[in-house]
Amino acid sequence: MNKVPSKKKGSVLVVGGGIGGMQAALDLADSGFRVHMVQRDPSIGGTMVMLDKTFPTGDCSMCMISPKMVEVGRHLNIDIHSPAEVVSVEGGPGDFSVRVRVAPRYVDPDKCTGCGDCEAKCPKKVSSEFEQGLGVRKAIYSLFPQAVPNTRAIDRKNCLYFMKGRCRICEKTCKAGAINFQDEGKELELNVGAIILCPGLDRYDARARGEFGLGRWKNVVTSVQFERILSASGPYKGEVKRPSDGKHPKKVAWIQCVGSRDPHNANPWCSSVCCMYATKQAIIAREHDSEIEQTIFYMEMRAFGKDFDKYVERAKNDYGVRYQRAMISVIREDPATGDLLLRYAAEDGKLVDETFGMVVLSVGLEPHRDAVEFAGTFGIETNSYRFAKTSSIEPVRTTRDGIFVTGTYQGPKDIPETVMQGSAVAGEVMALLGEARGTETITKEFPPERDLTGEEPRTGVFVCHCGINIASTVQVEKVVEAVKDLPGVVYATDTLYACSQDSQEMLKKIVREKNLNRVVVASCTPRTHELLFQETIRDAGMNKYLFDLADIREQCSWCHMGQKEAATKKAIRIVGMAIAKANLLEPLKSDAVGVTPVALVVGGGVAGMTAALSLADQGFRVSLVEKEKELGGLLRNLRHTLEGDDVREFLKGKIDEVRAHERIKVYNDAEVAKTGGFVGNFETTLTTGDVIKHGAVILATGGMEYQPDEYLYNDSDRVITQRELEGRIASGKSPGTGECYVMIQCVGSREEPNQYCSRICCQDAIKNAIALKERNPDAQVLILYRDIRTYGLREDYYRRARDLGVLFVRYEIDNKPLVESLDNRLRIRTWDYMLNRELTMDADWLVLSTGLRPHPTTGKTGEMFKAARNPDGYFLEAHVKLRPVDFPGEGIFVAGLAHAPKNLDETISQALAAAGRAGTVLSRKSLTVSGIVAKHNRDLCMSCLSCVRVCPFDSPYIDEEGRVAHNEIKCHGCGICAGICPAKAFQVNSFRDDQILAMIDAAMAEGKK
Amino acid sequence: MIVGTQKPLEEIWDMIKGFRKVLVLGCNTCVAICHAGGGKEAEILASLLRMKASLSGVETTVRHAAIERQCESEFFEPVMDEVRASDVVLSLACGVGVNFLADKAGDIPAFPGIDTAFFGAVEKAGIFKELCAGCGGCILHLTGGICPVARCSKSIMNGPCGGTSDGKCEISRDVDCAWYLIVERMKKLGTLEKLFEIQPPKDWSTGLYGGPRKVVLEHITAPEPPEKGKESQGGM
Repeated sequence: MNKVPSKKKGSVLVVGGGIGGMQAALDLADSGFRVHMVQRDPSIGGTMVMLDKTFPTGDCSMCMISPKMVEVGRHLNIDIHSPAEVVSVEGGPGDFSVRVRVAPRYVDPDKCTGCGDCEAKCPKKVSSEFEQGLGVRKAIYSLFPQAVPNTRAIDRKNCLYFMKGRCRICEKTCKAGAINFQDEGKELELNVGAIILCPGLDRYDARARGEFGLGRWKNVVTSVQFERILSASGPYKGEVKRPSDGKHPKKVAWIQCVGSRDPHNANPWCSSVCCMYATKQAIIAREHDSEIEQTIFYMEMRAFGKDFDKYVERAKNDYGVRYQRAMISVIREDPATGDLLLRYAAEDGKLVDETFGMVVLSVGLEPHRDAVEFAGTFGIETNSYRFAKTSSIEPVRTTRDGIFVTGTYQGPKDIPETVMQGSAVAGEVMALLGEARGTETITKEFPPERDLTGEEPRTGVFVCHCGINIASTVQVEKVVEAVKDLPGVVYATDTLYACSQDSQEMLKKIVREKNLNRVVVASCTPRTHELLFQETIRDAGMNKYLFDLADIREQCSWCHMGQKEAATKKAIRIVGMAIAKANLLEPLKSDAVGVTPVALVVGGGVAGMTAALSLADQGFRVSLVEKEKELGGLLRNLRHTLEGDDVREFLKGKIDEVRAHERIKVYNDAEVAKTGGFVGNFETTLTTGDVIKHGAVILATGGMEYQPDEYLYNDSDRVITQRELEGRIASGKSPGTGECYVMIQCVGSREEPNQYCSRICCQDAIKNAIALKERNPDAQVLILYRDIRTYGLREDYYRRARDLGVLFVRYEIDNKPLVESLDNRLRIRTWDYMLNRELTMDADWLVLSTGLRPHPTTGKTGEMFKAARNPDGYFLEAHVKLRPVDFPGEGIFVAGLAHAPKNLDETISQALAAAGRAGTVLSRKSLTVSGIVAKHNRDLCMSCLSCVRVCPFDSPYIDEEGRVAHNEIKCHGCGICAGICPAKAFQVNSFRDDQILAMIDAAMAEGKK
Repeated sequence: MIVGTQKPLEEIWDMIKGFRKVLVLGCNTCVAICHAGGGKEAEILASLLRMKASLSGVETTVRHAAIERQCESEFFEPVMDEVRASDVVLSLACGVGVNFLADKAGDIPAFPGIDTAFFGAVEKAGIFKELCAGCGGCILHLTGGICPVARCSKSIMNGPCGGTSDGKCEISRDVDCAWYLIVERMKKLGTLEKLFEIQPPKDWSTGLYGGPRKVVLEHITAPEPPEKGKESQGGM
């Protein structure tokens, strides 16, 4: 890209530090923008950090988000301002000036090492927000142990010194002198090119619903409290216990839609996530306690997302979760036992009383309490529900140019959708500020590396006290004494805080003075501190891989408190092992490969076109490949969205824009014939013979509408699909008075072999039903459904349809409606579960809500790019929660229906996200490869292909000679190949067999002493 | 290739526990590829045996080595000193290798460390499947490339039998019926009518039941004319 001076600013303001904001910040910072993150809480993380596990993989939420938080915290081009809020915004796209008020923290982040000694000694206990009131924190605190930044903050309202003028224990305890009671905070003036709003959510306060007894009955908890109860690091250490008496409840009930779908008492919208989180909690509860019986009381099971239905089936079949369709109206407590009595109407209408040991209220999501004020600060409009106003064709743009929105502030949504939108806003901002890329970023300059060839190891060891974190359990001086004469060690010392600023300087000085060529730090976890120390020794002229970290805090002092002798012995062994390994470490080179700044987009539907336009606006050339003669894909069949946007006009506009864009080349009647290469350097040949060199690829191969053969579709002209009905309505035909339309939902969806929800059909049916009723209120419309899945703000239209007189009748999968043809009409019989009798309807039209299928080319294209698919044929993303548009193979991204059924706004979001992610690759001149990669020894290799088969990144491959070769550019250094290789032809740098064996020997040698 | 699985540690320990100097000898061809007996497995097994000996209070030295193929004489040369210095050699090669080693080792016992299973293919990582039985008289051209000798539980020549059900064999739902596969494949090839021809009883004398077999390639062995009565019986 040419660097002409830009009038636009090359920095971006991200307001909110939840998972959506973090994703946006990382994508932008990784692609040449400077990011200011303003976070109201003392640390980042948002809501996701409070969750225990996430479905469907059961991954620990904290384990997933924590590395991202660390990455944000350490990123050279992300500045976190916390606790802080934006006060005012002036200017326009490309050049905003923003005033930020940083609240006093009373702890100096420059001095604080995050050791937590102050917190341990603080005498004042406060109910913990993070533990949802089920646990306590101190008045000087971090929200949770993994907090980023990990600088503690003093809660002025609860601090004894601020309240009574006495205490200051933290000040006396802090060996770093970081406490500052005089802190007054500060105000910042920031100039940014764009603003991203991701303030996150509040949860409905269920105390407003007195009948559920939250706050009155102790064993009624909110779903977030239950997440904390399930968490292994939570107040009950993962044991499912009742708050009232600590007993294990046998029967646990979940009540759905608390505060959601209730226009009279609470919020009218569907919160989108509760059905699935309740299902997850019921599964995890059973995993923690096999005696538990779980019942979920629900109105409709809204498992609309990818593979959600399968998860619910598993909950039913494998975990014994009982789903009871009923809305609970009141909970009563038995004061003697603390048990809870729930009364509900069973399927047959009879009232049932059932007793449970514990009740979880599935509380819904809502905008922050001060969302309207917040909108006012930024000068954007909100909708009537206080969410930021957006449209289905511009889902992440607010009403003010240059200000974007992501996450739950745009509408209720789950983690992957939030992450996706995080990348989507990043894509939008990259397109807006493309020319300013790299104008405000900082890079770190290092001195040249010292050549160590032929030198014997000269290892320096630094053992950290971590305040009293380590030193109160491990006798640090003894550790130093024990290791100072080990082979290779020429210097050993202890240090109060190895990570503090002055210690870093000391470390550099000693490296130079003592001419060290290996460094071992014995302190805390490499997860948070390895990179820091590596950077420090690099600054002292050493190769950064000549470093090892011995964890004597998490793996020693913390878990052996009170066992000084044993802990010290163990620490000596841990450090000895690190030294033995360090002696064998070798300097590693980080290779770099160039990047072709061109994108290939496969599929010219709305997903492909949106991604192509975003990338082209970012400044990259784009090759857009479309199989058909025309662009537009499946959207060509659609006329209006549920919200009433004119799809035809929108699509025409998009196609014209793509055709006119100077950086986009469209290949019609073309498909991918073959492809090769790797991130930054792909080469793809099309069926037209064109050869395209590109750095990234977006697979947007789209989907198909299911062509039904059920319900006489092929036998009667009076049986049509929703799409055909939409065409009839658009052609201007109004329904006659008394004309009867019956719609059947889930045709070809949610049953074997297509056990998934097509997501769009409920809204399609409701959209058409509303249109029919609006044209002629005296037309009859009945919708036969299994669950109406109008999630999020779409719930409004479900309500509107009911208000207009559309009738909804539920059917079940093992008792499907029966259709027979009469002369010019159709007779439809179905069982009505409310009336408990059969209904017979004579209809003029039967409208089938047919679902979606992946496009047939998905498989072929997927194979060529080594992109895996799920059993339903949709592309499988790298991680369902945190990498929703990536594939495991780098530089390959997915968007649109090829990934899973979704709505237009979601397709556009995902396409922008894919463009944003691709932008992080294409914007770099070169990609650096970590030195920690597997090294392949071809002389030892037998080409047994074990590595080729198990490598998740396709880095081993079969070369032109028909033998196994290894592409280190693709290698992540995970070591799976080294584990499986029968010939030991793979050795992972810094984790070689000899290094590991040396560590084992060191551990055993020490043990024999 | 030849597929084998390592014997249980207890069984191996029982074989060698009376010996003081043990050599675990891996073979770096077929059995290495099926993760049963290559140099790496030899190293791991030697380590396990040392631990076992230590736990059992037995003074035993266990060394390990590996060669390219234990079915060819020349490869043994570099390790023969090691072999001769041992009380026992535990070979992780297939049965062929153990036999061959036993001949070479002379007065030093050669014991098997793996159970040799079959000739097979790698279906996917970690799954090996028997596809050929080495019967000495190939009929794959008649059966759509699917071998009834190796893959039919009864090795019948005119199948399927009455035990076929939904494409599976009556011995287990996990075993495909080979004759079902044959029929389906021949439908695809458009040669289904060939199956109407009744195959005569198979001549099993070329296989395992006809006594030990040998292949002699005269164009290679020509300088030494073959002795009478020991000619090739079948092409393997």
